[in-house]
Amino acid sequence: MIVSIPLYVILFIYLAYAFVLALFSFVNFRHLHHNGALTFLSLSITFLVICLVASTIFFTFVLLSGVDWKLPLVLWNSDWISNTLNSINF
Amino acid sequence: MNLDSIVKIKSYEKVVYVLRRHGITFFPYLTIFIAILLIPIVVFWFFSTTFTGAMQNPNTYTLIIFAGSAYYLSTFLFFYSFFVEFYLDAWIVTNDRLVDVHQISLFARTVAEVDLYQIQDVSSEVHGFFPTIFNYGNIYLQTAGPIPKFIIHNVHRPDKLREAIIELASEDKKFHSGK
Repeated sequence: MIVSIPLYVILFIYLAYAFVLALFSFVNFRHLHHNGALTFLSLSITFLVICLVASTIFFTFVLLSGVDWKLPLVLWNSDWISNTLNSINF
Repeated sequence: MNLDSIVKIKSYEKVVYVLRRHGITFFPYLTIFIAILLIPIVVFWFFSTTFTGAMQNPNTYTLIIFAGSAYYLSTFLFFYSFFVEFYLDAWIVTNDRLVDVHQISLFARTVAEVDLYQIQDVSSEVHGFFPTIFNYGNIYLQTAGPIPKFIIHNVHRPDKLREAIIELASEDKKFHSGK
């Protein structure tokens, strides 16, 4: 028995995770704004973090540009167990 | 610092100082952050030299890229959160009181305040190599109020601030005794 998912499922999980992180970042920024702490330093750090995040996402998709997203990703294959058991000499 | 969003400002009150920890005290966080950024590079080098076959598999390659990317995004968020917590930790000195804003985490904050006329004793402390070099330290305020000891952590020029707080407290005492 083989359990597999297409590779694009991982892409959706990644995007969902990135969305949650973006939400937390927004809460952080809102804290700064709400407390009147938007100074040159805090804005610079915010800009730096935005640049780092944008670069990370950009390079992620550059590195994954050639990936076939319909490829199956095997999560479970019963052969793994049977092959392991067969390789052991009792 | 927007005092209005934290406490209600009195009509005669004006902000004299907004104190934050000295910037150099953020340096340990920065060092840890840089060290954390280097971990995936070492891990990737280890896997690419040890499991060469697995790295050729397109699925493994995709998963590694996603894991690395998620790791970096999380690290940047943690760095930003640490910075916001660090930056929102502040002590606001007005001509009437001292407000201590302590950002514990993203969703937790404590605000404590003490009237300046309640301050009985102010002492400053510069302790250690870096505090001496960069001139930062703690200020301890002994009060007669509900908070017996108030500590302002790692502020720049604590000696000058101690004198300024004593001056402000003495003016506030005169103001309250004249009522």
